[in-house]
Amino acid sequence: MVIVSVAVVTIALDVPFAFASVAQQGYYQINGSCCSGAEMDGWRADISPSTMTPASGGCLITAVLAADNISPTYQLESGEAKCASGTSIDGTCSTSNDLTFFIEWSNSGTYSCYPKGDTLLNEINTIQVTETGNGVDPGGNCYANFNASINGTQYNAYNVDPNFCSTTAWVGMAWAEFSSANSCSSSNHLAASFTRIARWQYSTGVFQPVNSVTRQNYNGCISVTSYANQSFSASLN
Amino acid sequence: MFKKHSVRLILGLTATAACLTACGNAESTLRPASAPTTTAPSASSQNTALPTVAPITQPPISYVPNHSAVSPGPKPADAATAAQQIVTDVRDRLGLSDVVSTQVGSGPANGRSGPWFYATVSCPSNSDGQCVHAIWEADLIQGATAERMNWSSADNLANVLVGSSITASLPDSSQVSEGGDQGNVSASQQFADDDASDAAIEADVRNVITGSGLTVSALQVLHPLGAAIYVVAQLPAKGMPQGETAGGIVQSLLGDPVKYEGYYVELDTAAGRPVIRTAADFRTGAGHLWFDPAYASVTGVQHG
Repeated sequence: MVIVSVAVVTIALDVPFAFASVAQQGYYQINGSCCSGAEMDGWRADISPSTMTPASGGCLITAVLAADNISPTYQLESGEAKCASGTSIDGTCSTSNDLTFFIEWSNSGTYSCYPKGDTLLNEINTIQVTETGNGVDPGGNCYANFNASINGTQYNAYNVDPNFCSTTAWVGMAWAEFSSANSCSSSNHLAASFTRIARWQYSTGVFQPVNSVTRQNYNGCISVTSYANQSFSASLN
Repeated sequence: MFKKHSVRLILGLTATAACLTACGNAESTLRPASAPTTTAPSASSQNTALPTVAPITQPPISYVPNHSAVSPGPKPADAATAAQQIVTDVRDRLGLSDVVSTQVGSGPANGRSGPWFYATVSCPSNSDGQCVHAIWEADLIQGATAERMNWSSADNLANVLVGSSITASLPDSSQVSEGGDQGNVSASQQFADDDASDAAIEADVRNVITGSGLTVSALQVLHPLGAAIYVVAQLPAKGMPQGETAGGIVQSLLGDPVKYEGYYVELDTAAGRPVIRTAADFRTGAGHLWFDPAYASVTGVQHG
């Protein structure tokens, strides 16, 4: 049953967007299918980009994400981004060709980005998106809050799952991406390592090592190494 | 960006009993009222002391090279009341129709410690980016409030207002979380057109829009502290002119150094249907993007 579920999800995730032009590769888990039913309420990765040179018109991203996998109206991602001069993420993140920490929350097709300060290549940054609360509001509606944390600083709480009472099928993911119309341009150069990848268990308040993952591969331009020892590397040359 | 639409295929492939009863696969089938991420503290719970900020040491970013030395002065004894007066004053002065209520108070247990900004906004629907304008109005108030509350002359506005929560009130009386946050952004940024007249700004905006081959259908200059522009422009019947993107038009509007502390730019089809909404407030660092997927190639702005 678990195997079937994972297989179906793999197929679904490899179906390309009809309109978006991005390249992305990384690894993910879906709660309930990833870990013999074990709890997975967010992800953590230590991310260290060593090369981030985006081609004209696009942005390079290394990030961690959490979303409700069943009805992904909302998603929360955080990491590092660098955009080419003249573009940005959502108008405020990496507006000047700077390598910046960011948090992006998307809601029903609207993307909102908040810059969290610039960083440098070859630094190891701990990025996590984790559930920090859930419940039922006074109107009887369920919710689950997730927070993004960058190097130990926990930022805003975001509602990631409006269907919390009926489903807790999360997806956690770590990946590298080039976002623009020229995703396979030879002018793109990215290298980054993702290490110490772990899944968050809200009920116990601890991270557990991620050992079993599925590869996310869209558009083929970015390469990733095999997943081993909670780690992988991504590159785009 | 996680491929959300792809996951929706799972609904068709593996529709489970649970999903059939609860998931929904379209905006209209979602539960009508998802919870706000955080709720503002009631007035009776307000203390005269604002919560202490757990400071961020990560250096803030600046969108402009120049900063003013203007300080709002020493922190008043009753800082909580003063903060509420500031946010109310900013909101009333701007007269923003989509912002229903605003408040400064303590943050949620799972958020950063320090003063938070809360706003409830009104918008017609949570789909198709129809809340972007209202959220942007709340951003403008938040950014100006943070500057005026910067009694300690912090260099990072994220160490003045540390977080925010924006809730949308929809016509069916439901409420939807619209997120919110305070970016790590430099205090006291001086934007190039802070002192320009509205007439000059409007002329400048019209020149850029018409020069890009579009038509201005609505234009307003707001003054949270400096100037912010609200622009609705119509595309020609043939669509976006060759070589233009929404991001490129915004860049031309902003100039270098950046002229305005915020912008809302909506591009409509010749028939008046919005296809791209992009907005930013450079004091909160909040940037928003919605686009009709058919116009993805001409946004000129990326998303994660």
